[in-house]
This record gives sequence, structure tokens and C-alpha cells, in this order.
Amino acid sequence: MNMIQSIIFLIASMVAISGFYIQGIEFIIANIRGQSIQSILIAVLSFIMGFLERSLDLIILGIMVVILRVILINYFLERTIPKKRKFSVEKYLSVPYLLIVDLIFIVLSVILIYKFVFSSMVLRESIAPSNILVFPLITFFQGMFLIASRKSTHTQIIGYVEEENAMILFGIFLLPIPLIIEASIFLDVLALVVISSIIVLEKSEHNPVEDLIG
Amino acid sequence: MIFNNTALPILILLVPAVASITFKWGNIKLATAISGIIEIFLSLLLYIDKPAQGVFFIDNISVLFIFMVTSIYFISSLYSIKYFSQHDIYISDDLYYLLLNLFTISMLFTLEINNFGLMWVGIESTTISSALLIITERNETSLEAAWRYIIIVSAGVTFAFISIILIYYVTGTLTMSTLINSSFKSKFLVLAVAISLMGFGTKSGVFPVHTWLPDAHSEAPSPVSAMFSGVLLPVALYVIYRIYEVYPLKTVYVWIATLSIVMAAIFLIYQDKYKRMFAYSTMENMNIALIGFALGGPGIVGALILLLSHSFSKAGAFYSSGNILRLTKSKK
Repeated sequence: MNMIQSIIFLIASMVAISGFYIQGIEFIIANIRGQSIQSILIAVLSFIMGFLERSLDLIILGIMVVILRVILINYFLERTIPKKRKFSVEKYLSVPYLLIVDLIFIVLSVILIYKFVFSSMVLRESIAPSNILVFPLITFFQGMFLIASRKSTHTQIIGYVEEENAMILFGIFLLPIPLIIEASIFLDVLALVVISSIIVLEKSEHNPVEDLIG
Repeated sequence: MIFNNTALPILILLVPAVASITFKWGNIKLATAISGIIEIFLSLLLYIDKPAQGVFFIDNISVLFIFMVTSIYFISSLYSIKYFSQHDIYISDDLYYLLLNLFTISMLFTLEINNFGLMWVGIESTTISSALLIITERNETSLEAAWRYIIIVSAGVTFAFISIILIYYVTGTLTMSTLINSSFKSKFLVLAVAISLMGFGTKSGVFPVHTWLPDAHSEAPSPVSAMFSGVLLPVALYVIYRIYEVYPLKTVYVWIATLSIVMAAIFLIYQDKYKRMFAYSTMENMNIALIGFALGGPGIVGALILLLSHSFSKAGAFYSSGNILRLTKSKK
């Protein structure tokens, strides 16, 4: 690995680490900002790759990540938290327990999937080793686990956005899909977050409902 | 050829959009109903005057799906007028019809477009436009059902995006007409087709990712449940079928669909609410159609006949359930 490849590898690993950070905190505001940090890292990666490969698409992708994921999604989600509840936390949450389960779940699933499926993939020269694909996979499963393990609407939205972030990362490393499609996806995700933020205002936590069992 | 290549498919997308913007000036209920009639007419015209493949991909199968969507859209828009005159509605009439129109546009877009990436966008858009329709009667249960719908379907459809990336990685294109007529061979393509079954299957009622389905169907107002059951699930099934055509995985699809049918039948036994029963019945029908598509040949014809009859009959069943609910005030 040369130095540029090492930097790309390092930033990709930080994206995955930010997923563990989001999983490990119970403050909702910190969760939202954790997602913003993750998106910034992805934007930085997109810019680096864009300059390396002289790809305008990747640079525009980075700009879209900053505007839509870092600024707008952050804005819409923070707006739904009342000022008095800035320090709102998810109650009855055992963070150490969740982190341990998360770690086991992620390590097992990612190792298996990478070993049997993605290890034989050939990536572009600027990225080099295919084991960098482990990071989008970790981020994707982190998002899934966050949705499954939390009851707060906010945190579940963050889990969904994290999954979408993993998809961008996956796309950047494998083969960036056409920009028009990427842009449509970004707008779709933003619209979904806006719709979700309407539900947040009505229902901030989710527990089993008797009428919906079975 | 009456229209040029893209005019008719674009017109089909534009008519509900025009009906939507009338909420500023006129009667959106009437405009939506009229738009429904025009849409049925245009979908029939599409059968006679199919455009050449380009931005849009229209063949006999997609025409049939478009006809189903436009017909149920028209009937639901009419039934909504009666339904909401007898039931409380939390959102404004204008917003309801606006969302109904957007929901229809997103389904039609998915059926017409000749690109797997944009089909994914269309499927995701159906979630955005239909989520708020579930909570039109605003109660704790419908909010929870809407949330489960949003989060489960979105997470599932995001998973399906892996299949889109993999298809693009292997073939270098997402154009549907190119891909279904090609003979690419790769283990990543096998993976893509399998992932799409589970990803898009979230929306079309494939076990075990169907869990939002009975909740949303039972808590949405009856005209919306009719749209969900009659056309939304078949539209997702259409996407699954198109990706299946890229690299047929007959055994996997048939087994998963069979398992889904068996599980739906088991779940059905434990239901005491009629709309939840209809929802599980929809799940069974979708998976029977999936088996038909996977088998190919006469199986496809059978699947199409089943989907056409199911869309009208199940929509009718959900309209009836709205009447029963009004008379008995009970969902059991």
C-alpha cells in the first residue's frame, strides 16, 4: 500500500469507528452529530478519490454528501428535538451490553460475508486491496443493528442514514454509479428523513403495540 | 405510432401531477377522479402504441401493471370521497389527494423507467409518498404501523441497493433492456439477484421481511390499504421479476416463495382482525405470483392473470372492509 492508499484506508476505518461511536452513546443529539461526522468522513473520501481519479462525479458526490447529509439531515433532525430536551437520552439502555452484542454480530457477519463473497473482488488501482470493503460492510451492519436495538425514533432514523452512508461508501470503492441516480437517491433519503421527522413529533419511542402483534 | 417515443409514458406521469396542483385552485377530489379516468384510457393506449426502448421500457407485462395501477388509483380516488365523508381524517383532504397522486406517480415511474437504479428510486419514493397516508386517521396504532412501514421497508430497500451496485460493478450498465437481453455470468450477479429478492421482497411480502405488511394494511384507511395490496406490492414484485430476468435463480426464488406462502398460511390462522387476514392473503398471492414468474413460460401468464384478478378482488375486499368497519365499528 502506498501513502495515499493508506490514508484512504485510514479514513474508511474511521467511518466504521464512527458507527461504533453512534452505537455507544445514549444522547440523541450526540447520535445525530455522530452521523454528521460519519458523513463528513465519507465526503472527504469522495473528494480524495475525485482528485486522484480526476472524476468530477466523485467531487460532486462529495459536495452532495456535505449539503444533504451533513447539513440538511442534521438540521431536520435537530429541529425535532425541543430546546428543553437537548440532553434527552434513551432510557433503560445498557450501552456496554449493546456494544458487546454489536461487536459479536458485526465481526461474525462481516468476516463471513467478506471471506466468502467480497474477498475476490478486484477494485480500482487507486484503492487497491479489496479488504477495504470490510468498512462499508461494518457500517451497513452497524446501521441495521442500531435500528434493531433502539426504541427511539431519532436513533432508528440515524441507523437508516448510516445504512445509506454505507451504500455510498460501497459505491465509491466498487464503481461509482451514475450521478443522476446518485442524486435521486440522495433526495429520496432526504425526503424520507423529512417524513420521518413528522412522525418523530408525534411518536418519539416505539414499543410493542397489542393491536399489531401477530 | 400516434405519439413519439417518450410522449405517452411522460403523459401518464404528468396527468396525476396536474391533478395534484389543482389543490391550489379547484376541487382536487374531482381532479383526481378525472385524472384516474384519463390514466386508464392512456394505459390502454399504451398497449396499442408501445414506445421504442429508450428512457422508458414498455412491454406487454409493464402495460398490464400500468393498467392495474391506474385502475385501482381511479377506484380508490372515488371510494375515498365516500370513505372520508364517513370517517375522521387527520390530514387535510387536499394533502390526502396530493399524496395519493404522488404515490401513483411513483409507482408508474417504477413501472415505466428503463434503469434499475431509477427503479430503486421509484420504489423508495413509494414509501415516502405513502407513509403519511397510513396515519390519516391519526391514532397510536396507526402511527406505530406507519413507522414500522417506513423503517422496515427503507432498511430492506437499502439492502436491495447492494444488488444495484453489484449489477453495475459486473455489467457496467443499469439499463434494463440491455441487461435482460444479455448473458452476463458472474457469481456477483448471482449474489445481486439473491439480494434483490430479500431487499425488494421487503416491499412485496417475502418472508421473513414482510413484518410491516399486516400492520400497515390493517391501520391504513381502506382506500389506501386497497392501493397497497392491489398495486404497491405487485409493483415491487415487478422490480424483483425484472432483476430476476438478468440472471434467473429459479430454485432460490421458488423455495423462498414457497416458504413465504406456508408461513403466511400459518400466520393467517392466528389473526382475528379481517384486514390483517386480507394482508396475509395478499402475501400468499404475491408469492404464488413470484413462483409463476420464476418458473417462466406459462407460469408468467398464470402470474399475470393472478395479479390482475388479485388487484381488483383484494381492492374490493378492502373497500368492503371499510364499509364493515363503519357499520360495526370493529376491526374484528
